[in-house]
Order: sequence, then C-alpha cells, then structure tokens
Amino acid sequence: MITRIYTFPHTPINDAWNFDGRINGSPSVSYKDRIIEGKIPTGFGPNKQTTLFCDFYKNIAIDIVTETVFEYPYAVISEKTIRPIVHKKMFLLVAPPGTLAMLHSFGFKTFGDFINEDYDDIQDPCTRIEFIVNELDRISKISIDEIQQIIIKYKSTLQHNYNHYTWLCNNEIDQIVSELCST
Amino acid sequence: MSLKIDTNISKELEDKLSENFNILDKIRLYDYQHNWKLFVERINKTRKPEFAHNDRYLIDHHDTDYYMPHCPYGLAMFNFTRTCLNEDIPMHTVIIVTNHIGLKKELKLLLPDHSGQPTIIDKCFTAFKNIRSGINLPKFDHHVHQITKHGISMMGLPRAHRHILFRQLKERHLLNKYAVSYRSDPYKEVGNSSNKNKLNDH
Repeated sequence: MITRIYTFPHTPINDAWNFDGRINGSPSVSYKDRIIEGKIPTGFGPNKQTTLFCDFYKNIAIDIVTETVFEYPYAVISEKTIRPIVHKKMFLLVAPPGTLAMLHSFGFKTFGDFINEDYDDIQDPCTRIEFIVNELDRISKISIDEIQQIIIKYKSTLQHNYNHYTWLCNNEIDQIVSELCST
Repeated sequence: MSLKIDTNISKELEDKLSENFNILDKIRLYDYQHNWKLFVERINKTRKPEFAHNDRYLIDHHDTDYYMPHCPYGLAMFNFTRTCLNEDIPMHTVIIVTNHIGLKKELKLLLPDHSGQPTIIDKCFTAFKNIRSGINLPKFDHHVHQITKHGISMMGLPRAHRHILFRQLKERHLLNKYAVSYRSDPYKEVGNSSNKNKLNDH
C-alpha cells in the first residue's frame, strides 16, 4: 500500500511534481481587479456558493478558465468551465491538453476562428502556457468594439453551448444508464 | 470514525443507478486517500458472503488523482484496486463514476485478468454535482455593449499554473485588459493578519 506523501507546504496538486524548479515561486501578494466585486464564484459544496452568477461578469468578453489542474494526464473540466457555457461567454481553457477536444467530443463548440486553440494539443505545460499567454497578448490588441462584433458573430455558438448543456443535464444520464443496463 | 458520506456524484445519476442496481454503499475515494484501513472498515460493514447479481458498490473517483511522473496509473486507483483484491471484493460489484475519460486502461494494468473488471462510467458529462450546478441558475442577461474588458480570470486556490498565468499577465502589462483575481500562497498568510487586506490592493 502506498501512502500519499504531501510536499511542504501542503500542495495536493499534481503540477507540484514537475513545475517545482521551473518557476520563480509565486507572487507573495494577492490581487483583485477593481471590476471584480462581491464573492468570487468558485467552488461547490454545502459551505460554498452554489451559484455561478456575478454581476461584473457581464462586462467581460472572454473567461480565461484556470482549471483545477494543468499538468495532468486526463482532460479535466469542472464548474469553472461550466461558468462561461451557462453565461454564454467565450472561453479559453488553462487546463490539461485535450480538454477542448473533450468538450468537442461531448458536442460543444468553441471559438477556433477567433482564438487560436492549438494550445489544446501542446503536451509540454511550459510551452502550452506560453502559447496561451501569447494568444492573450494578441487578443488584448484587438479593440473592444471589434471584440463586441466578434461576440455577435458567435452568438449562435454561445446559444448552442447553453442549449446543449441544458439538454445534457436533462437527458444524458437516462441514455447512459439505459446503455449500461442493456449490455 | 465517521467520514463524509456525500459523494460528488449527482443525485440524478445515483437515483437512476439505484433503480437498476442494489447499491450497497456510495463511497468517495478522496475520503480514504490518507488511510485505506478506514476504507476496509467501511466496506466490511456492507459486504456480503455472497453478492446478488445486482449488488453494486458505487465509487466516486472525482476530480484529481495523484500521478507520479511516468507512472501510468493514479495513486488512489492503485490503492483502491489493491484493497479490493486483498479484501476479496469482486470487481464486477463495483461501479466507478469518474471524470477521467479512459480510466479503463489504468484498471487493465492494475487488475489481473481473472479478477474481472468494474463498470466504469467515464463518458457522462453531467455525472457530477459541480457540472450540473449551472442548470438552475437564473437567466443571465447581458448585451455586448456592456463589455468593457477583454477577459477575466478568477483564480481560486493557489496552483502553479495560476501563479504562472498571473505573473505573465502582470509582466506583460495585461492586467488592464484582463480582470484578474489572484490569491497568493495562503500558507504564507497563516498567522499573519497584515496580509488579510492585501487581496484588495492593486
């Protein structure tokens, strides 16, 4: 039997294995943009917020979702990725490789004409995050007016994702359990 | 010792499985990663000398396992399968609900052929409560003209990739374009009341 060994300080995350030594340590001071007010909608559980709604969310174009893990052998999504889908926002995933592909396999659509989504195929975590930051740098040079026009162009995609999520919530489990019992 | 009973598996999936199987117990693996003897105690409370054809243990393998470099299976899954084999729990009585698509390949490595394989539900997008949490939200009305920022990144618990992203955005002077909330290492803040108000510093 193997007992889980925690590094110090306690870091129950997988990227602790390989990121150590490759970054310069974390910034010591927390930060929050002025636009972000109230409780930040993260986490799920009896003692946490169960709503994903925040008023300031209407003022942003793209949700840069930092998933629970980044350097990980499986694509992982959580309520963090659901947040932009439910609120009909474009998103960019700072997540393990293949996470966008997994969303596609479930029937969701993403924004490949606007955001370069090649990062999803990059296995090396350092190269992947560098690619993502470069992409954010490129997008930052686009004016807000243009971004607004791009969102209008993607309106049907955003609505599709919302509708598809709702459909999955209402129908998927019945289908999967039926298939499970018929085999 | 009592451990958390609730699993992360959605009630809808639990109910549907209960209609079709006799669920002996619902177990969240995360609760036992620190002490697998507790898992043995838990499973011994419900085990039978002979299992009926529809008896099942429902195992919640949600969120993250612990993967050592170059090891093709997770630590929790390794311990779980070893414990089941040691305790003679037939694998066909196990349903594993996981968000690790392709977990089957780990179990093929971990379980000998004669032990059978558990049922794995790994391709169910809405299997877990947190994924379903958006379904009952009030309608979110917004218009494109309200947009004032290129993006947002709401970072929760400190993680290495969040540290890197924040540092990069800061170094490239992108924090005026992207609204970011970032928490530094909370362990540095323990016992240091002067850090409490730093979250709002700009």
